[in-house]
Amino acid sequence: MPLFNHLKEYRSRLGINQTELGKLAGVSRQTISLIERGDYSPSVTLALKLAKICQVTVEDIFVYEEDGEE
Amino acid sequence: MKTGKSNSYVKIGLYLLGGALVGGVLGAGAYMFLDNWGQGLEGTASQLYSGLQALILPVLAVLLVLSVLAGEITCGKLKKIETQLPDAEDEESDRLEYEEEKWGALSMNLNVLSQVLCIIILAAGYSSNYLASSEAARGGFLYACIVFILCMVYDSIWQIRSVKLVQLGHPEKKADPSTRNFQKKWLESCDEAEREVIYRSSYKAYIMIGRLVPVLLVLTMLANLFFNTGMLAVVMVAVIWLAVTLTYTRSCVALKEEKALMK
Repeated sequence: MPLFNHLKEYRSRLGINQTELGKLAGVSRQTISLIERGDYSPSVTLALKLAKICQVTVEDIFVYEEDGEE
Repeated sequence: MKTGKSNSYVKIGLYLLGGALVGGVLGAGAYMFLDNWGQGLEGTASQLYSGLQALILPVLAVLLVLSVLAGEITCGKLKKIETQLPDAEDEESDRLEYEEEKWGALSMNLNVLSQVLCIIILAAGYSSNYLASSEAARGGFLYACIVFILCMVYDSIWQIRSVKLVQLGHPEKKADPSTRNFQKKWLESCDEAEREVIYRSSYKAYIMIGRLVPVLLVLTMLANLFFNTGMLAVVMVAVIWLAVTLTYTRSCVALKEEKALMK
């Protein structure tokens, strides 16, 4: 799926590790790791939660690109 | 505009024709082979069966020792991983969680293998013909039953220990492995990504069952045809096929119904 994200970048700005972000979002550390690696696309609810924690919009963290789009 | 519909019928027709040809050739070959060697095969199988009956007790004892060894090794590995997990850095946690999954899967597979082998070996002596054959057979079978119970008790403890060890590294998973609704509670304590892994793996298992069961059905039918193994095995496999299909389709309908009634 062509969904990219900057979650790791925003998490680093907050100065917290994956376990702490997972606790804040109510998910496991592994889920945060999977999202950061692009191996898992989160639900809308989780994406909104993560955006709220990082104090940005969902579009700031997650980028959807169609095939062939620059 | 042409659709793929007609092609599908042709394809299925060709598959059936191919299957019939292969089945015919194999069936005729098997008939000719068994006509010449069938009695020899039956004799060998019967000898193997008698040999297993005579060795139920030592084989079960060896299986118990191997099960304890496998249980202690896998639980030891899991314990080491789970104690390291809480203090691990992000990258190290990824590696440890992969190791945890790997050892957890190995533990579960070996545990089920131990239980299945225990049942198969005990079943070899679980026959009125064998038990009535001699006093020694009855005595040996009684001791075999004790070893069988010990093995099954250890396997149960092994399963509970594995779950408790995983809970050591993941305290958010509160399900009690000794309760009947353990699977449900475990699933409830998983987050969305973990559930996706469970759903995808379950679907793979369903697909595998759907492919394996028809093959087993044909094999049990052929075994009955050539060796008179009886109808029970055929019926059992057919019941499993029906039960799996009914469970899957019933769940699909129930989930759609839930959504439809929510409107």
